[in-house]
Amino acid sequence: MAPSTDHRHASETELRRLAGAALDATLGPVRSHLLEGCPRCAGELRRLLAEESDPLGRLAAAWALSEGEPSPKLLAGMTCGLYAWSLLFEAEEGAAGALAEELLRLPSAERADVARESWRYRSMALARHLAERARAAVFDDPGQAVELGRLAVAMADRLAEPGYPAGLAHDTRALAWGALANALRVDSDLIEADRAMAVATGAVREGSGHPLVESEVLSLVGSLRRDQVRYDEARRVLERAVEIYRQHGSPVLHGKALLQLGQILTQDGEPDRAVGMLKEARGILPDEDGRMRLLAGYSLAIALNAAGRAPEARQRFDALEPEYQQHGGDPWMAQRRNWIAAWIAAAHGELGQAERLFRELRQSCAERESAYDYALATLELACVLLDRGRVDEVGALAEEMVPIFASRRIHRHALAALALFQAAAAGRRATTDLTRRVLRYLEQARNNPHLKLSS
Amino acid sequence: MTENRWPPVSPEELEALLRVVRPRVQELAARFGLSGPDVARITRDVAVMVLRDRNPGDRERLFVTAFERQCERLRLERESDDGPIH
Repeated sequence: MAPSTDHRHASETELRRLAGAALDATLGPVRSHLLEGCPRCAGELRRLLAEESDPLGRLAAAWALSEGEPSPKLLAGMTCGLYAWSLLFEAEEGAAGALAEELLRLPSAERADVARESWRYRSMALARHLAERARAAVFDDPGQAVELGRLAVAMADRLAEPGYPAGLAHDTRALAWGALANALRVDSDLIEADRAMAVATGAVREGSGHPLVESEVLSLVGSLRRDQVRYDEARRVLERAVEIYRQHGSPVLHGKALLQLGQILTQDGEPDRAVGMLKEARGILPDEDGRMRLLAGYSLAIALNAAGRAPEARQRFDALEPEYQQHGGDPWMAQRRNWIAAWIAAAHGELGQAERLFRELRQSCAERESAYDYALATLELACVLLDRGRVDEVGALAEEMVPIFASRRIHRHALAALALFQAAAAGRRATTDLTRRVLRYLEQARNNPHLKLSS
Repeated sequence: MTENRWPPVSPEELEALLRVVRPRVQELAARFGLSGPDVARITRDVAVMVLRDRNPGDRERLFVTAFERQCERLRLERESDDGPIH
């Protein structure tokens, strides 16, 4: 039999031999071809490995249950069977990016059907690749992230058929459904996000027991519970995720989970506890992940400020400037930095400086047509003006809020809360308490269209 | 297409992994009273699962953790099947 080359597909006979005897010296070219990431040969090998799964199980049982040391033949058989799976995973990972591009070039209405029906796309690596892309796309384009998440789910739900071990197939379902739930959350569809997350957590229970799959889904559950203003649950699941990452995870994942937990503690009125977590996150996150370290530093400054430790917050914040110059070149981070500078100025009683910064923020939100952030900046500015006794100017702010009410990006309960503030401001009746209450509500309700302002 | 990817787990690494985890697998199989088919399914599934982890130390730890979880799940399923009828 002529060996395959990198440029020619492997024959079924060759792949069948590989599935049963992956280390056969004559199959080197077939292995190389697979490692190039050939989707067609990977798909065929997957089918053949599914056929071989019972023999591998029998070998595994003999290996585990035999008395004394397992025979060299038994060990070699196990090694060979597992090596074939290892080759398959590498081949699938090599092909996943190109297959995803192929799928995404199709009209969006056809993608899920093609993904479901064609063996070419029934790859665990492809489903995971799409789930990761959905996670990455979520802040730039939540709608696109939802679409990618749906595609990942369409594939992940069919993985048991090509013969992946059931636990692994469920792990992939958990990650895909978790990514979809997360995208739906950011797209403000909390009801659908909740349903999708229930599927994800159910799949974790059915899965292989991989701790990092569980912790990844838990961290997504934490974000969802935060947006649902179910802070106790958010904290509980994130504490569990942090614990798993502490034992098994990479420093990046561990640091990110601590950062997430610290942010929720600050939001839930426990900034003192958040400070410790955020310091730990800063200490764990590696230098290579400069943007995440900067974000942890900014979150620490926010927590210190909220804990009444404004001088320490400013010291931390100022010390981050070199990191900002190096890693913070995007508009989102610039906005974040200016927002924190304004809060710290207000906490120091530097109301003139705080007013100038909130006005600048408001202007930049208007230029970016970011209606929700414009509303938040308006309320922050109103608090400063009220603290300075300039009630008439707060009335003028009410008139400038009219464009907010035309935005489709603000849900009706948030609009109702803003209308309450606007009416009070227009009638020169706005108080700091009312303004802060509306502000706090808006911060909580950004992605939660079901949350109402409590009376 | 092969850029930025790691080589697959080597046969030597696989053999070493199997040698290291076998005593724990045997201990867990005995503790949970697993049948031959249970051992076959769980061992195969867990062994295939850990192949996707890059770090040999992680693979060993993960193998044992995941094996134990699968045993625990099986025990819970059986308990709920055999439990008293109320």
